[in-house]
Amino acid sequence: MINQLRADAFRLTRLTGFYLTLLLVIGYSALITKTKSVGGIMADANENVLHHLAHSNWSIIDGIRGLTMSASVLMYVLMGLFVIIIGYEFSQQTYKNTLISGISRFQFILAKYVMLLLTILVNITIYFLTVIVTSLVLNRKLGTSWGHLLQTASITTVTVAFFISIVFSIAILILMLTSSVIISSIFIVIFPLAISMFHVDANWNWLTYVDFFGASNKVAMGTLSPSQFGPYILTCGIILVICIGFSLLAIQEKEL
Amino acid sequence: MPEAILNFQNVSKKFGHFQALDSVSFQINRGDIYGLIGENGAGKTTIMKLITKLSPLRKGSISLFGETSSHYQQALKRTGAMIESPAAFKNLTVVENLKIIAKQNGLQSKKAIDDAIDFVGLTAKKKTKARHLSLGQRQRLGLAMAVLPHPDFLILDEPINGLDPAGIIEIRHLLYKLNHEQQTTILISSHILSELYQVATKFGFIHHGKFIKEVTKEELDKEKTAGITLEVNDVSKAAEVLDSSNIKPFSVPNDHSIFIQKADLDTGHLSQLLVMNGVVLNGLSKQEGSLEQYYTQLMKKTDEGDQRD
Ligand SMILES: Nc1ncnc2c1ncn2[C@@H]1O[C@H](COP(=O)(O)OP(=O)(O)OP(=O)(O)O)[C@@H](O)[C@H]1O
Ligand SMILES: [Mg+2]
Repeated sequence: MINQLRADAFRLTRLTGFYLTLLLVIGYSALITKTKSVGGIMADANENVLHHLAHSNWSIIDGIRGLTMSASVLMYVLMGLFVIIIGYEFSQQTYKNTLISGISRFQFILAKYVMLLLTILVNITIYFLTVIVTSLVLNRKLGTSWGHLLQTASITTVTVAFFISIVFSIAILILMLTSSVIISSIFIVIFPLAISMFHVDANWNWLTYVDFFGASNKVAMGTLSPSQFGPYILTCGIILVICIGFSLLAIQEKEL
Repeated sequence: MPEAILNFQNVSKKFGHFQALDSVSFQINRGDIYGLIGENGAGKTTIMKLITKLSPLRKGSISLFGETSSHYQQALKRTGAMIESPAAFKNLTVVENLKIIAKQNGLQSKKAIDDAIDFVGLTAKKKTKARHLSLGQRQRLGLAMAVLPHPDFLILDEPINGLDPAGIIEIRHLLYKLNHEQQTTILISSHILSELYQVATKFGFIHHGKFIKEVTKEELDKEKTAGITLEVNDVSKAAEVLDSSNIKPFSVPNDHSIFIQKADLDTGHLSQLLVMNGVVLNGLSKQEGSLEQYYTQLMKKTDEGDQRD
């Protein structure tokens, strides 16, 4: 599995798509920080906070909050990673080489998920680093202590990255079931929209725990403290196990 | 006793209601270059996909390097394969694609990559993206990928597809070299029987998903019929002449030629005999028995047998 991770890491460094993703993430982050305009898909945005963000001079901590609220858009940028890391294996049939190299199906699926998680984490880290750097360049105030700022930034980084990786794990399962990179990509596009729509319109409260961006917004606002993560982590863990488990079953039964 | 590399036992495969393989059994021993022969849709690729686990095995058993299919991950590490079309990342160059294979297989040596590229004659295209390779070049890249980890067992599905004559000869040498220098056991399928005949040491014939027959090259050389083809104006008259001179057996493929299934006749004497009996001889040619001919006859026999059933 380590071998496969190495191979994929090498492959990423050779693809323009990977660098383009990084550039887009940096550009998007810098743009929002500079223009102070929050964008994204939000179901239950806190009006007060939005109001505050729209009118105040952003401190750096405001920047982190604004960026967290805008993170759902990153899905569309990071989707490219999904296509490169696992989509290409199927669209270009290189899974034949990969699977014959002696990697087990379980290791294959897991390696792909881990690779996605790692690259997402790298991108989100850069996303938040860009806020801090841009804010410093713009001579903005900290708005809090460095310690609190970095803590908030790292918690939101991990939360957002993990949440996005869960959506991608569902997309992996869809790819295994349908063999279609297009269908699984469409899922990634629709997921945040659908969840926030149902969450608001149908008032399905259980959706709270899969409304990942709603959750990360709350984290950013400080209305959801790490001690209340329990149900979210549990939900994500269950989804992850189910997706990897069923992906494994699907790929074992598949005519490749 | 020869060491079995692959043991295929009573393997059946169904796609829906379609029986793609019907209780196929055969064995490949260390050092064999095993040629799989069969018409389109016979089941050759299916066999290869079952061995490499690209297709799940449901009926029968397969063992590879002595490990059974339920867990032969280690055995697969010793196996290289190119099944159906070669697959490569289109946006990456030849070298980059090979580096990925090297990393997947935990190979460190940079030289191995250059050697593999050199081996298949792609040195000039090292830095070319896979998407810009020609059909034959892509085939060569696929081969380089399959041989890079120095597998003990190499599976090649129609490897000379799309290769130019020089390429075919090179691949033939390459396989010979792998087999002789590195003791690589090879399973290969091809529709170009004349080529397969030159490469393989054993042949397995598949027909409509059934394993019909296996012959070694020596057996084949003995069995396949060599003979003499006569082009004549009057086949019935010529047949009479041959009959009366007790030159047998012969067959009449069409109304202007006769095939005598005997290679050691004195052709001068034969033509004299025919001409003296008033048969106009338009041509006479000695014919080496070929794998193609053997295959055609085998299929004919098999199909006739099927009809009798
Ligand atoms: N995934 C699949 N689903 C349904 N049928 C299949 C599948 N794969 C193969 N088949 C069928 O199984 C039969 C054997 O196919 P296979 O690819 O093994 O033939 P082959 O001997 O390799 O032929 P060719 O010489 O054309 O490559 C064919 O009739 C094919 O249609
Ligand atoms: Mg085939």
